[in-house]
Amino acid sequence: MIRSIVKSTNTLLKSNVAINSNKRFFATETGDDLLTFSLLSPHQTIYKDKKAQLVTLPGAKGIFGVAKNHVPRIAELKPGVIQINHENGDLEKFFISGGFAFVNPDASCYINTIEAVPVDQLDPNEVKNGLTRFTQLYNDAQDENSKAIALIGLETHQQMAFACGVSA
Amino acid sequence: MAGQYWRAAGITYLQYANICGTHVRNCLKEPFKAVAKNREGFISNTVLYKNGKEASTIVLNAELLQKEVLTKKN
Repeated sequence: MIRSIVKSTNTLLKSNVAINSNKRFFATETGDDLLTFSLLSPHQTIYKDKKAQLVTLPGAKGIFGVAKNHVPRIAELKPGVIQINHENGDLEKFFISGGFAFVNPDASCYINTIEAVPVDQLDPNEVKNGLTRFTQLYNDAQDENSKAIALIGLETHQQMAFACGVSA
Repeated sequence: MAGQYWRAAGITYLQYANICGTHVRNCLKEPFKAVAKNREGFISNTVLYKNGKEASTIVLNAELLQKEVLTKKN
């Protein structure tokens, strides 16, 4: 009697083990729920493998946030503000001039930019001057090419104005 | 694509990225602006020789390139 119970529990245990071993996990799912990201520009590594709760990026098709287990994607970035919600709850903002973001399946994210500067390094006066200059250029532009170039300048300055709180 | 009007106007991605980078560098506060300008600075002289004689010289530097990028017509 006892032997049969022991036997049945043994088989039960075995089948349990078998069920558990059939389940599959990402290796990263055992840790915390933080994103690992790197913020890089050609001349400087600003962050490497840094943990963060959320990183908000200015995508070419719209602003999007990346947290852990985001769908893997490669996104083009426009000039705009990167907002980093750090591990300890601190908020940090960078202005980037464009680039690409790679969101990997293993809860990591690479942000490759041309220029990335802390928002408080932007000069509000320069931004204001640039904004009026490129609005003027855009209105004066005749052909498609110079209109596009003026519009790039206008958009970049609009984003910078937004970042450092300047209104035209 | 609505967001990529510049591509429709014949501007390549690299040109676009350079223009945006130039604008951001121009709008930095002072110590950082000088550092960024220094970093991007370069001078290049290309001399073409024909039959052992200088035929033409192409001078390229950061300021010229920036001017060209901002006024270029393809």
